[in-house]
Amino acid sequence: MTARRLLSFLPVGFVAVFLVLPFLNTVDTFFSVSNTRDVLSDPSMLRILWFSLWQAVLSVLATMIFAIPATWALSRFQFPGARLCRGLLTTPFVLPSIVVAAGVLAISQRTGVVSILWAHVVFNVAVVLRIVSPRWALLNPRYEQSAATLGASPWQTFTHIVWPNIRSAVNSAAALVFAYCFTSFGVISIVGGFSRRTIETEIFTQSVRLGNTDVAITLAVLQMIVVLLVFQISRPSLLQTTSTHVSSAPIPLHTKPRGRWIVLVSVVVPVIIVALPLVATLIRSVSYRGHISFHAWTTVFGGTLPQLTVSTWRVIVTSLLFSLATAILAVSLALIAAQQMGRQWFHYAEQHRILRFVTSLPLVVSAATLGLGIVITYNTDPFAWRSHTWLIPVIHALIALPVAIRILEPAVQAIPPSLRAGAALLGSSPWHTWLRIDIALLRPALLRSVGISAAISLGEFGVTSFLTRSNSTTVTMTISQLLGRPGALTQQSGYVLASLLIVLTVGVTSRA
Amino acid sequence: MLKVSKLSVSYAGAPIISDLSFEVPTATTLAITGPSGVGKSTVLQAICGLVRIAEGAIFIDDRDITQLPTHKRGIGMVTQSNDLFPHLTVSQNIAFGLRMRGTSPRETSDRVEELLELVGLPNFSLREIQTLSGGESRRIALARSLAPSPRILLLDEPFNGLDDEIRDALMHQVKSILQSSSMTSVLVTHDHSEADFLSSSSLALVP
Repeated sequence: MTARRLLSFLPVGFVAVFLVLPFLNTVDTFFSVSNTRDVLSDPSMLRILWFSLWQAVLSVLATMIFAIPATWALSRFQFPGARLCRGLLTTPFVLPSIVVAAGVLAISQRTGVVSILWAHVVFNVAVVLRIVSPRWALLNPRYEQSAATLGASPWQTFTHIVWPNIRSAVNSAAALVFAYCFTSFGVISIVGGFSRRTIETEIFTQSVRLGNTDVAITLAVLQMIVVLLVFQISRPSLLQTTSTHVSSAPIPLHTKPRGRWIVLVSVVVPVIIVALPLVATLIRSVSYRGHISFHAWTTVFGGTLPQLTVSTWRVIVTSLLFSLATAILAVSLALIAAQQMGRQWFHYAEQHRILRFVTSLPLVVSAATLGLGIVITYNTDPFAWRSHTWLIPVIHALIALPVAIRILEPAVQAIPPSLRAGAALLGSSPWHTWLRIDIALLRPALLRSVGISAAISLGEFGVTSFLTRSNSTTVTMTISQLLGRPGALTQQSGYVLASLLIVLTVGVTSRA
Repeated sequence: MLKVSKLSVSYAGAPIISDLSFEVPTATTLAITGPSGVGKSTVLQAICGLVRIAEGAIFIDDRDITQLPTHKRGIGMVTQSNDLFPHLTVSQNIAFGLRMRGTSPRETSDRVEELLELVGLPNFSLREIQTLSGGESRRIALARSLAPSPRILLLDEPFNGLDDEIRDALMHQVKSILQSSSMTSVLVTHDHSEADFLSSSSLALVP
């Protein structure tokens, strides 16, 4: 076996060790049919299952109501501010769930279903926009114009011409949004309150707080069955890239004969829905009992929060170090995987499929399931890793890996093989060709995947809840602690850290 | 009769068409000629409501249609890019306009067959759009535009990009169809031989 082929197994081995093995081990140890029967006959568990399901379905519907018109308007028309609106709508995709949830809480001031739906919409408009927009832009606007000249009303044009062409992309987006909302942890933890529990938060409660690992793993398996069923029915393309390539130029809005206000409303309303929680977070960080006050900012940056056992500076530095380590590890593995999948000389179709499938798995396994598996499996010597600090960025890299691959793979494929051949003909060694051709051309995609991977680490909350120790507390964990405690200054400090996280996340992804 | 009165169209503040007026009597063809970029296609798009007009009015048989949306104007259009719907078959493409009006399936089917005969492609109903040649696509696009019996037919460079042989055959076919159906039409072309062959009057746009 050549070194190159051995290298291709590195990403697969990484996912196997930190995801597949822990999951299978946990299921093998704790899962049983009798436990499943007990869980399914427990009325409180059935209520949790039912709530998880309907809140996810409602979240998908609410997301689509705002996202589809915005996607249409931004894919079809050019107008001043369109780029800014697209940026505002897609930014929450990389923001920490806990920050978005905190922002919604800052406005609604109450926990419950409406706040949950709002937070889910804020996140997932970006998912729909990123998946459906490239497909919609591929649909030549002239087809719609032809339909109109043939007597089709705008609604008939949508149902007969547009919908058949975007249906598969919408289905993909809906399935992914459902999966995100069904397994949402940060949002439910912050805005769900005491009465609103989902399978994901219950896995955490049962395993970490109550020690009922068998119940937790039963819930994890049931959750995964539902997600896989939804994916099976809708067959989303997990390999969907986030390309925003536009093949048909959007039409300048000022040339649209009528209904221009519909286009503007389609964009402005979702932008308000999405931006309000972020603005509210910033405002709450400087408002204390109805007055403007920077006291919380000085307290946080003075490193003297009495509610915390470590200084806030240490928390911030820990998060930044984790995000740096995550970016290096995730992007290195993603580059290996993308080059194996993207190069034409890779003729091993079976290995190719395995690589693609295995590296997609972190997308379908929920954070709580992943955390539970790690905590149970890597608990005894010589693999008692669960208390090691290095495990946190490693697991963050596992979560970032599929996203980083999806950014790098199209970029690798876009490099014409003739360039490598040309370099070789000019006397360049394979190593120099890789460095001077591949890496040089991949630089924008590499920067983008580094930014996204770092942002994923900065915002990760679910798995970190299982693995964190007092000496490895991250900013997201600290925000959760502060917002969960009484006291105006404590809460304001939580919003200060949430604001800081918005700035950091936007900063690291600004090139993405 | 089609009447265009004092039509002005601007793009990003710059005028493309200014104060243009003309009439096309019923059952005649007007050819609009002129060099590229002079706004010939924009005139057609304004007539069928695909671009916003700055000033002016458009009448069909003395009825002002300026404020009507495109789908209510009863105007058919054939373009050089055909714009056949790729997810529908040939017969579904031709039937599209009839379905939008709620025409019964039987009538639709009869009309589709009739139009396929008319454009000389009688056995093409089940063909996929991707399997058609350039000339076949253009003829199907023509059949699709004629299916809902529009009051006005707009032809935007309909013979562009075709081989000479196919182009000549299609020009004869279009002339025959326009004459037999007594259709009022506007032809946009930069080719004077096409204009002379098909039209009864012409209008030259200058930059």
